[in-house]
Amino acid sequence: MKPLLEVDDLQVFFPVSDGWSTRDKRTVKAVDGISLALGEGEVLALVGESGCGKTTLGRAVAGLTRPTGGEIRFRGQALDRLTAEDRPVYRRQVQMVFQDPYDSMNPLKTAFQMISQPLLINRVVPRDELETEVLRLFDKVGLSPGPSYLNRSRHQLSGGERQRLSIARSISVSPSIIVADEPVSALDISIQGQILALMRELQDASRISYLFISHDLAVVRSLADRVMIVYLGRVAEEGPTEAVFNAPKHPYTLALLAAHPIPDPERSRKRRRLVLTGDVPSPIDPPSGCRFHTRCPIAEPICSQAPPPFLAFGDGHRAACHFADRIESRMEALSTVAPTARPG
Amino acid sequence: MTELLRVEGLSTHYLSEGQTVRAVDNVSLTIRRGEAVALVGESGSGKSTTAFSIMRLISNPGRIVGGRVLLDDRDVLTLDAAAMTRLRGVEMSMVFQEPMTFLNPLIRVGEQIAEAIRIHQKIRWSDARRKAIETLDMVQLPNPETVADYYPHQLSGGMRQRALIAIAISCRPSLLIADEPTTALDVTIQAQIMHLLRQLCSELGTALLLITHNLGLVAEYCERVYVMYAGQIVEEASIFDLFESPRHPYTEALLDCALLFDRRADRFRTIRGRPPSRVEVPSGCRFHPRCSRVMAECTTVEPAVVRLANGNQVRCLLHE
Repeated sequence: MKPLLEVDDLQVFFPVSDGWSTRDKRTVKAVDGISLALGEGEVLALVGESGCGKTTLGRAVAGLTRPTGGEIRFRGQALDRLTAEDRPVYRRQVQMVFQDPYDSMNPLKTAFQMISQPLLINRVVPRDELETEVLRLFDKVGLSPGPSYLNRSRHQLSGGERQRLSIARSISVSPSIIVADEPVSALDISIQGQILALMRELQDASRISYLFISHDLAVVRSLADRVMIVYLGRVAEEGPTEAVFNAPKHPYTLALLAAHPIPDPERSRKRRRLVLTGDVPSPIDPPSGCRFHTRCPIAEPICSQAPPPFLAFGDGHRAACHFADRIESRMEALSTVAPTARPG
Repeated sequence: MTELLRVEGLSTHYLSEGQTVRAVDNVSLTIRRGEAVALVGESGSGKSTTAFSIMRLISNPGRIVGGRVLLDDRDVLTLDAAAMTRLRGVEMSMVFQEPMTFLNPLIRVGEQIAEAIRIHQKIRWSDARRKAIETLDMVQLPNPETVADYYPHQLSGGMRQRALIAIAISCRPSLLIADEPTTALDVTIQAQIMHLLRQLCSELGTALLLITHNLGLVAEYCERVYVMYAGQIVEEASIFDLFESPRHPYTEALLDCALLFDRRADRFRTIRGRPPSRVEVPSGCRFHPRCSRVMAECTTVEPAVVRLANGNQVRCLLHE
């Protein structure tokens, strides 16, 4: 089956300048050669620290940022060759849900206006059926009783309700792909589950595909079919969710998993400690060879010299590390901090 | 371990548009010397207001309307402003969620730390600067001499939080309150900062009150937990007891939400509804509209705090 969306060797660069010099021709390589495929009804998660390029990749897919190189194809058709008539169709097919629905809503508009605008622009329903359609969407995203929400503006909604409204807005034009950029990270944990359940429900009902951008591994694991771990604009590891979580092959994935706090004192105090030092390096002048080598606990001379190839582990699971096939023994060899004993 | 902080019946209200918001309602808690204690709750549960009340940093329209905050047996709430200034920073200090808001953008980092030291110690600027550099070294910032001359905008988020921690520990306080210190950071940087806090607290013998919504951090870094809901403490337990057998239905539900994220979820566990508005607090037990084990009397009878055989506390009619 042909994937719905294909991204080939995508590059998104931003020019930067320190101020005065016009000869300063440096670039931020936000996305530097990422390829991916998203099938119909599939959830692909993009994971990584801030500054690793996941949001830029999402924006490029949604058509909000123009790529510097590479190609994005939707149902086999290249995005940069879309005709003037086809472009609005693509925009309708790919919708975005942002992290902070407060910032992505016009403070002067009511919920009704926010949802009816895309319906009118895209001529989804005739004007006299507008209210019925808005109420139907409210019902679909669990804003009930619907009529009580029609005239509220963003400050009269809770965080969870805002995110529901923002999902209603994105599904109003029946898209086939939703790019969700950290859709639950601003919400309380008891509300996160509600929003994730809603996203899963919509996916089951309408076969929507998600490009799910998140730094929260627990959220990713609960929802995604496949994950892609990105570091400084490149793919570190990708594969089916359970394969990557159960048998990670890239030291960066291991470090992310180790840094994730487990809500279980017995387990969290027994596991291996792996704390990365420092911050993500600047994407203006990324490290040579493997970009992770400056923070990698098992780096060797080759890591700074040659970019690592992808090593495959079956079922689409692959990792870009020189030692991906020996990762377990390499990590074992690291000195481990003694687990904290249970008091009493 | 001896007792360091005892909060008794603390109530803090906000008066807005003629309405009273009871943000903190009769909260009692204790922290022993060198202990790491967590105060957990969702946004709006009153956990930050509790912390700010302990530090006496509540400003209009908020007011501490009752209770006592005993630090080493002295009631912090009755101290005059001068005594309070001597106490803050030296005996207890605080680290905040968004370091950029609490660092002065126009003053070099080293100078901000030196300023904190000079408020409490009669020493020269040059000596204070040397101490500031020592403190930056303690929070494991590379090249502390260079970093001391940086402005806050030249630091990354993790480095800023380290600088803020440096200010907080510069006078070796016996209590450090950390209000969501890692919420704005990546998980990798969060792990660095939490490791640092734990290490510093054990080196200096400082007690830690960690305010957080993240049960993972609580499990990993704390010894005892207070769970807050709608301005009240609903459960207190050692972390092993809490995670093994939570007693309050709210705690149980929160743990369910957190644990279910730990694997592929066939269905997502949630807590129905949302936290109550604090202007109109539900009658009886405040959690009853969202509780899965609600009984008829929960809507009318307000549960009292019950101390259990193992020393833990819970506020629920199921245990009365």
